[in-house]
Amino acid sequence: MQFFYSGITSGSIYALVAIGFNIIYNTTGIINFAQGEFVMLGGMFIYSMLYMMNIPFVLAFPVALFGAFVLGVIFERVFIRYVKVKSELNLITITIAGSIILRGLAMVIWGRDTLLVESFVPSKAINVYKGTITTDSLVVIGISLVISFLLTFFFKKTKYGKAFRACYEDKIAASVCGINVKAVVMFSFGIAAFLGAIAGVVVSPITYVTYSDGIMTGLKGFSAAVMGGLGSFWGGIFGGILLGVSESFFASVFPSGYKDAMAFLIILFILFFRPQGLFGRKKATRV
Amino acid sequence: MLRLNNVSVNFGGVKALTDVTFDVPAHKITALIGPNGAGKTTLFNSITGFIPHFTGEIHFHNVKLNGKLPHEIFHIGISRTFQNLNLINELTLRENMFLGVIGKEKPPIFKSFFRLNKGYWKNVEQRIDDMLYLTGIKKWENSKPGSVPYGVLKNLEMARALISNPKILLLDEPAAGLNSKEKENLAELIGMLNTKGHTILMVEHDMSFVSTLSDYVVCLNFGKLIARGTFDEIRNSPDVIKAYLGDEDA
Repeated sequence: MQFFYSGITSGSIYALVAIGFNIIYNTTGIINFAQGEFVMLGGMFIYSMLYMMNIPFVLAFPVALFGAFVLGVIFERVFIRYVKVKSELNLITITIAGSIILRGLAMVIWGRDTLLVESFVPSKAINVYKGTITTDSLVVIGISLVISFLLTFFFKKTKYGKAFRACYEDKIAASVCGINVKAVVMFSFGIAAFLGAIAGVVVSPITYVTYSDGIMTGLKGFSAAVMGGLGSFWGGIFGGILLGVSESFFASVFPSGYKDAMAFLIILFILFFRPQGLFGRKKATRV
Repeated sequence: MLRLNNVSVNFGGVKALTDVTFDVPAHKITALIGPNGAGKTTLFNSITGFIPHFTGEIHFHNVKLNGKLPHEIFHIGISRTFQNLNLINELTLRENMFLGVIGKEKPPIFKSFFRLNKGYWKNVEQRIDDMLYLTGIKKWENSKPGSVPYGVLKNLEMARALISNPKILLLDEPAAGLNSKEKENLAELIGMLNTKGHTILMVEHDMSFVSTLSDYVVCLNFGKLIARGTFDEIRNSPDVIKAYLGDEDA
């Protein structure tokens, strides 16, 4: 059971990253491969404010998230908006380029060393069925669940959420209804960065922070999103947890150095047998 | 009301519109006719911001539309439908209607999320009901576009455009693909909208539809305006006859 509990913790982080991927996918139809960098930046921001500027956590946390939101908006304005031919391939290539730039900047600003962040809640292990789970892990799991619930409610049940989805499905239809599609896309990048930063902050006491964290976190989050079905928030959550738990069990049997390969084995398996993901739906088109 | 002044559009070397100039009077139905490829939809796209690179000027109530984006033009009071439907297939017909309201009125997102403005949304629901009844599609409100007849979708597009209470409605081939009964209902609906004071500019190929409804007709051919006037004036125009039937020599 202990492997299961550890897996759920890392899985919750993958789930948050997957949700970030899904938000941008749901409104723009593209995959933002810089999403992992916002996780890293969330950790960097909180570290800087807590230990370099001595700002208390209650203030540092919202400021870090707001900073990530602004950066997400800037990312869209700088890297996405002015692309002349907005093909999926071009946009994905640009997000990869953007992620490399963000990572490079992070290395210059914060250096190559791993930065230690102390726990935000009293750190203790709680005995649960046949194992223990730390309070840090509970924070990660709890926040992931609350955010998933709120976002699913927003996108599926509220009229604004449906308007956001409309932008992805038919930008022309959305714009003739007076919806500013560019603003929606920009806002989506901001929210996705905000979510990435939440993941980065809550996981920082568990994994600590390094400038290069974003690559693997981003790829795992992407794997989780594909597993669950791109665009599905609960699919992303399920994919994240499945990935985290699988990795954890894999590491108990094989050398832990190979556990990262697990994500990609699962993604290959899913793509072979259910390309739309576990919760994704095939699109019907009127002909 | 809507004034086009020397509007020209080039696609590469192809002149889609050349110096098109005409006015669309308020509270009237103006039909835009012409053979295939005459530039009718290009003109619609220029007015509604989907083709931003036209030359000349388009004014609506003295507001210059040049360079404005589609959503900005919508907020000025111009709504449109499309020759090929642009509906959100993942949403029900009723949910599609909400887009027109959200886009126009922008209700506060925070209040809407926490349902703090229930009175406002109740009013919106009522307005949507009224519009669904008016356009005769109420019984399909909870269906998705993929599962209802084409004529219903045509009416849905019009209803969605109307819910924002536009100052002018642009209809791109509203009767295309409809059967005779559906056309009859549509003509009745457009006529009723006009008696309520709506200004309508429509592209249409069905001449009986045009003759029944339109106050004025503008005819384009190869991107040039070749005639304008009432339907009776237009149908006797040699240029219009030539555009539709070709030269006698040919």
